[in-house]
Amino acid sequence: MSDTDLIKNCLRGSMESYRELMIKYKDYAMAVALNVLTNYEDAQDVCQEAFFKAFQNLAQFDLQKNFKNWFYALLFHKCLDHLRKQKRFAGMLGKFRKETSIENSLQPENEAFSHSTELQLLNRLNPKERISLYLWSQEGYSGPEIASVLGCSSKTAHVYLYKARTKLKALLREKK
Amino acid sequence: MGKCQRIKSLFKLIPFKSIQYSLIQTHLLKCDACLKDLADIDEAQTITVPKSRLEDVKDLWPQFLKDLEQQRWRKKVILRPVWRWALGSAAALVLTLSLIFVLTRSAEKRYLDDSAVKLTIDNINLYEEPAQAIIFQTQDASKTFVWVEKLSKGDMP
Repeated sequence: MSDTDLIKNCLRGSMESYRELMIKYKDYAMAVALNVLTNYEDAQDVCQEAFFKAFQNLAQFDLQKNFKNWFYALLFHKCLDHLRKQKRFAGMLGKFRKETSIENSLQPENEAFSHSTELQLLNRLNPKERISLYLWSQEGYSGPEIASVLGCSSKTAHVYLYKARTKLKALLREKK
Repeated sequence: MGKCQRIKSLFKLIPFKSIQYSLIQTHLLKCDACLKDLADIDEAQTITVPKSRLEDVKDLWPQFLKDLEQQRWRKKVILRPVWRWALGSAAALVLTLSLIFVLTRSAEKRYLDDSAVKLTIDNINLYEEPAQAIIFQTQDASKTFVWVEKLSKGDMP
């Protein structure tokens, strides 16, 4: 069943259709959130919130558009909210979290996910650069598609991507 | 690769995948820009975590249902003005009662502290012989007992 059909069924009251949507997109959502937040547990919480928010706003979704991009945009905003909240807890707690976030993210329940260096490097880019880089390299998104997720112009998305790629090169050079 | 208009137009013209593949291969041999982009993608892939690396992502459905239930309850109960008033009044009543309770307790304690008998015994004789006195006081200080007993021979001063 296509996304549009599933959404139509959801709007008619079928919870099972929404469950199908969640199953279909939970891994995608986790990957995006993890690459933006660089912390496994935070990513899980934010995904949960994003799915809930998406369900609440499903009626506002334009069926002509791509559900994945719409959901990614919502998820990304949730991630930004989460990062903002974290920033507010500055001082002791903030320092503690910063130190432990990378460690935590690299010791999840997930055994396959255990390489720390990736997220440490990713953590040195800003969230918009992180998501641009992820969408471009892992999901093959083009500039305009990234722009639709970030809610900015295509040119701005290209700038984020360009900055991310430049920083990445510098980081990899530094690492070597 | 997205930049390269030539390869994009070729894709549109020839819809067969095997032909597309060989065209891409031949194109890549010549196009430095595409090769550079591919190398950059490879590099970017080394620091981003792909979906395929995430095994056993937690099922979010049970928590989703819980959240939904909570929200429904909140909508049903808390958001209705009648219930809001009822809850507010109940909270105010509980607060007032606990305040009254605390105030009466502290007043009672103060009264007992003030009224408590302060008793000291310096010297006591029993049948014209020195004796020892033990003072007992109940925990709330409302009653005081004095126990006087004769000293045994060994205890004599």
